[in-house]
This record gives sequence, structure tokens and C-alpha cells, in this order.
Amino acid sequence: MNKKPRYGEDILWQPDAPVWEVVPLAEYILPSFVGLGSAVKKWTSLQRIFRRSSETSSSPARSEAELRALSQVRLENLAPPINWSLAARALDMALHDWLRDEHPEPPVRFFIGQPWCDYAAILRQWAKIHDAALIAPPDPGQILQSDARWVQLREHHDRLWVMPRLERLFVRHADGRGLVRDFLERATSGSIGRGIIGCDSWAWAYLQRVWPLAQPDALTMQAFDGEKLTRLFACLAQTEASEHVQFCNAKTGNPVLPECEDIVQGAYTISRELKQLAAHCRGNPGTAWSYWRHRLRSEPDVDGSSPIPEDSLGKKGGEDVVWLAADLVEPSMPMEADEDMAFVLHGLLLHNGLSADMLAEILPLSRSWIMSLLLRLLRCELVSRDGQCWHVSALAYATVREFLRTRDYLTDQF
Amino acid sequence: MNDAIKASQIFKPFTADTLVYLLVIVATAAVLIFITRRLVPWIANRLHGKRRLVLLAGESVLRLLIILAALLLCIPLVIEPSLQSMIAVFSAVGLAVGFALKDYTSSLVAGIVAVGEMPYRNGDWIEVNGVYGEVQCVGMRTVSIVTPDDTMVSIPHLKIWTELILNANNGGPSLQCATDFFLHPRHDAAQVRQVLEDVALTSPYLQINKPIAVIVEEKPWGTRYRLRAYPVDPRQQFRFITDLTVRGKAALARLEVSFSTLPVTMMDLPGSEK
Repeated sequence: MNKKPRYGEDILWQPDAPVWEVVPLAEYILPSFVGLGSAVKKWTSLQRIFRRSSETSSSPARSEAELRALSQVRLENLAPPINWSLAARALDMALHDWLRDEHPEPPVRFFIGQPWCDYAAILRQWAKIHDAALIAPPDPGQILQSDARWVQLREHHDRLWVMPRLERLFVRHADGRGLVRDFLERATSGSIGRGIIGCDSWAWAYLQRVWPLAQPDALTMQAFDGEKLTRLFACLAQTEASEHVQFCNAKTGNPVLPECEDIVQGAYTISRELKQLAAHCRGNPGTAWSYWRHRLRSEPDVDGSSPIPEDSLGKKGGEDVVWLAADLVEPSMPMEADEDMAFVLHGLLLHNGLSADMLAEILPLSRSWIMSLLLRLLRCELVSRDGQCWHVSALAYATVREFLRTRDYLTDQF
Repeated sequence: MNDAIKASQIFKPFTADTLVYLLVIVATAAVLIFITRRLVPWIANRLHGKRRLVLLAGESVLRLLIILAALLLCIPLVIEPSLQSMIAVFSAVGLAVGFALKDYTSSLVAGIVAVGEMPYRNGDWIEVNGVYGEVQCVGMRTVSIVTPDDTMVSIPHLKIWTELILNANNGGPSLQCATDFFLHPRHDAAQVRQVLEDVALTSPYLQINKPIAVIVEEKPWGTRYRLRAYPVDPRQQFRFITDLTVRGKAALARLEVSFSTLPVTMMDLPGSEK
């Protein structure tokens, strides 16, 4: 079997059109739906409004039903986690002039990231490049007590510093915003030196109201459109174990992802599936990656050593074929989704994840009721749990965002 | 003989066919109105914010259109469609109804005006004659509102001629809520004001894009703070005020500010300022 040449990260770092691009917030361009994609999305949300029970989405086509989800090992080979180090490089380029300036104005730059885009990892990488001091967030007790010592400890920094997660500096509680206000006041006035603050987009939207920050220079990652997703997923799929893998639409059989060599030569077309995915995810690469992994399918027994002939094992012209489920199956809101559920989901998004105890502190609901809501949401796959911390799950993010937006709750600006 | 001729010129001969047509039209209109009354609120209550209120308001307009259409179809079946006969019939009917059922007719006319001018729509929160509640149905003669105590109150439309109609949200999702706090006069007012603004910002009910205001008034018995803010949905107003009160009291207690206790009885006195 011929081994294909590996292109590494060349695919992601073409000087004329880099995949990772850091831009001011106002320059974020939302990917648009292709063809009837927008109408289909509206029709789906209309169906959700009038659906009587919390049934899941329509069953997939028979051929798709016969396909199986990829094993964890195969997924790790074909769609491993995104390496955010190139994003750190893009951030570094965006901050180049600011870093060279001896007396930069403003002394602090903000880097805003969407949920499931690991902006904290990007900032940690960046801090490593510049040997910058990483500021660890206070614990919840310090936040509620507005512990002045925590802020004072940050004073007179000669070193460049990075605060990767500003949303860990406040809670939506009457006593939970003093610390973030103090910190922002000192940081933006330059009294703690030069630094970069990372913040989740939802927390940023809320903080704009708590402590209005005129920050036209705030940066963010440019949206991932169909082209960027194509290059990102093609790069991720390049592993030793995935030689000659072809990604095809399970319904139409059309290839979804071009060959890496075609991408490098610029001779490729962007599949409709990836354009739609980019639009559905509003340019968020983190959630797009989760959908991508969730939709990958293989023929039965392709992972094991089955005596079934090669043709029926998803081999096409000597290449492994991995199928992409045609339907974008995602968790849907339960029919009984009410105000309390909206509060819990909104609280989780505003803080980029919270524990049940902290949710009980900030919401007018008892802890036991919050736990019952969280467990119901977990069963619907709308939230996920990471130790004590609950998050809105990546596959449910678009649904939850739409649910909150239609109810006039504060949403992020992406 | 002359009167009989005139009547025959005005009215068409009333046959069994005419009766059937009339019944079909009336029945169809009744069914359509019934469906509209059920279907529109059913759809609207699955939506939120402005879309819900627009749809709810459309229900009464739709009903009026159905009634008008039914009348336009019925009249030519009974009356010769000439200007002369129309004037004669409507004058006679108007005179009779005007004397016998003056208030009823006035309410019906006011109902049409209410649908057109929209001093209230379905989904609005209104106060008429001291009764406050959410408009459930703008009928032909009355407007039905449900009070916070879950009591249905029917108010004749003719009130719009004489009474003040207070509409808290006026067809939109923005409804301002005011939460009062009464404090002992010895305290740092600037700090309390800041704390109360913060309290509003912490409530999950808050419509965060709307302004928050704290009005401070010095009274003989202490200081009155009025926290004004908007909930996400008008239907949340009482839960919002409760939440603000609970959070506000907790935050003020942490400041060790004394609450005013004397004015409670004074405020309740008849004629005292609200």
C-alpha cells in the first residue's frame, strides 16, 4: 500500500489564507448557509416549537442505520483533538505591534473565545512562548468575599502576564462581581503591567453590562467557514494509521473532504456538508469538531478482523472509506423546558460551566431542584459533567443558544 | 299597502334556501372564530417575546375580519343591496338598538375601536379602574383580563370612552417592574444605590439590555429606594419583583443597614402616597 505524504500543518498555515486568524471582534464574519440551508434550519426550529413530546430527531436512512459509530481509537486517529498551538501563533502575530511597543496603549488586550474553543489553552501556549506569568483564578470563596488580597497580589507585575479565563473571576451574585471590577480597573489602568485577558464570549457579553468596557481592540478567532473546516479536518485526519482514508457522505456517497495534496495545490472544492456545518456552528471550530466526530461512521466490523470481503467493509478503490452521517443529529430541548431550565442553561453559559452548589448560590432555585434539572438535562445530552462542573455540551450548544435567544435572554455576540 | 310595498323593496323574499345560506355562513363564521380563539393562543404560547405578543394581538383582528366578512355575505341575502334600502334598514336598526341597548351597542362599537386603536391587545398587562391583569381576550363587548390572583375579570369596552387605561407593556415584551426597599435614614445612600443596581444585575429574570434605575426618596420616616428594572418576559413580573426583594434584602442585610419599620402602618393609611 502506498503511503501518502504527510503535509503536517502546512495545510493550516498558508500565508495567503491562514486557517487560524485572529481579528478584532467587530470583524468576525458569520458563515452563511448555502442554498436552502437557512430555510431548512427555520423549518426544523418550527417543527421543534410544535412537537408534542421530546422524541429525538427523525430516524436516519436505512443505509445510515446500518453504519456504526467509529471506535474511540479510530476517532482519535481520524479526528484527534484540535491542536491550538497554531492559534497561539496567530494570536502572537495579531499582537506583534502591541508587543513591540514599549508603552502600549491599551496596556491590556482582551481575547474573546466561544464555548468549546479552548481560548484558555491558546493563551497558555502564548504565555509559554513569551514566558509570561499565568494568573490563576481565585477560588469561589474569594470571589464571594471580594478578597482584595487576591487583586493586590497581582500589582507591580514587571513581567508580561496572562489571565486565561476572566469568567472565573466573577459569579452572578450580589457579592460576586467586586473582584472582577477591581481587577479590570487595575488591569485596564495599567497598574499591573502589560497583559492579556482571555474571556468566554457569554461572560464577555455579561461583563459589558457589569463593568462597561469600551474595547474596540478586543480580539477573537475569525470564524471557521467551510474552507477553514475543510483544511482543519483534513489536517487532523493525517495520521500514520489513517492512510488513504476517504470521507464520504453516507447518503450520496460524494466525498466530503478533499485529499491533502489537493488542498496544498489549491485544487479542491469545499463540500456542501462542511459549509452547512460551519454555518450551523456559527464559525465555532470547537463545536464543529464535535459534530464532525459525532457524525463519522464506518461499515460494521471495519474495526475488527472480520472475514467479510473488502468491498463490503467500506473500501473504495483500495482506500478506507469513512462515512459522514448525512443528518446533523443533535440533542433537542425537552418539551417541558421551562423558565427554570432556561436559568440553569443560561447560568452555565454565562460562567462557562458551574458546579451545582454555585448554581444554587446564583439562582432562585434550591440545590435539589437544580440537581434534578441538571440530571434531566444530562439525560437529554444537553449538558455534560466534568467532575463537579457542569457545562452545556458541545453538540447541544447551538440548540441551547437558539432556545435562549428566542426567549430574549442575553446571548454572546457571535 | 304602501308600507308592504316598501318592505318588499327593502327585504328580499325569505326562502328556505336563504335560511340555509344564512345558517351556513353563521356556522362557518362561528367555527372559524372558535378555531381562531383556540389555535392562535395555542401557537402564540409556544413562542416568546415580541412574536408571541404580535400573534396574540392578531387574534382579535382576525375575529373582527371574520365577523365583517360574515356580515357582508349575509346582508345581501336578506336586503336588496341598494343604497336606499341599506340606509333605511340601518337607520331603523340603529335607532332601535341605540335606545334599547345603548350601553351594549356602545361596548360593541368601542370593541371595534379597541381592535383598531389597540389601547390593549391580548397579552398586554393593563389596569382599568384599579384592576390589574393580563389581557386574555379582547372580545366584541368586553375585554377579559386575568389578575395576579388568577381571577378572570370582564371589563366592557365602553370604559375606553371614560376611564384611564394603563397599559404596562403596550404590545411589547418590555414591562418595567418597581421593587421598593424602605430603610432607616442613617446609611450610606450611594453604597445602597450601588448594591441595589448590582442586585438587579444578578437576577436571572433581568432583561439585561434594558436600563436599571434606582430612585431614592427621603421621607419623614426614612429613605425609600425604588429599584426599577425589566424582566425578560412580562409574565415573570411578580417572580422578578420577589427575586429582587429577596436578593435586595439579603444584600442590604450584609451591609448592616437597618430597615425602616415605622412607615408600614403609615403607608397603609387610606389616602397615603403610593
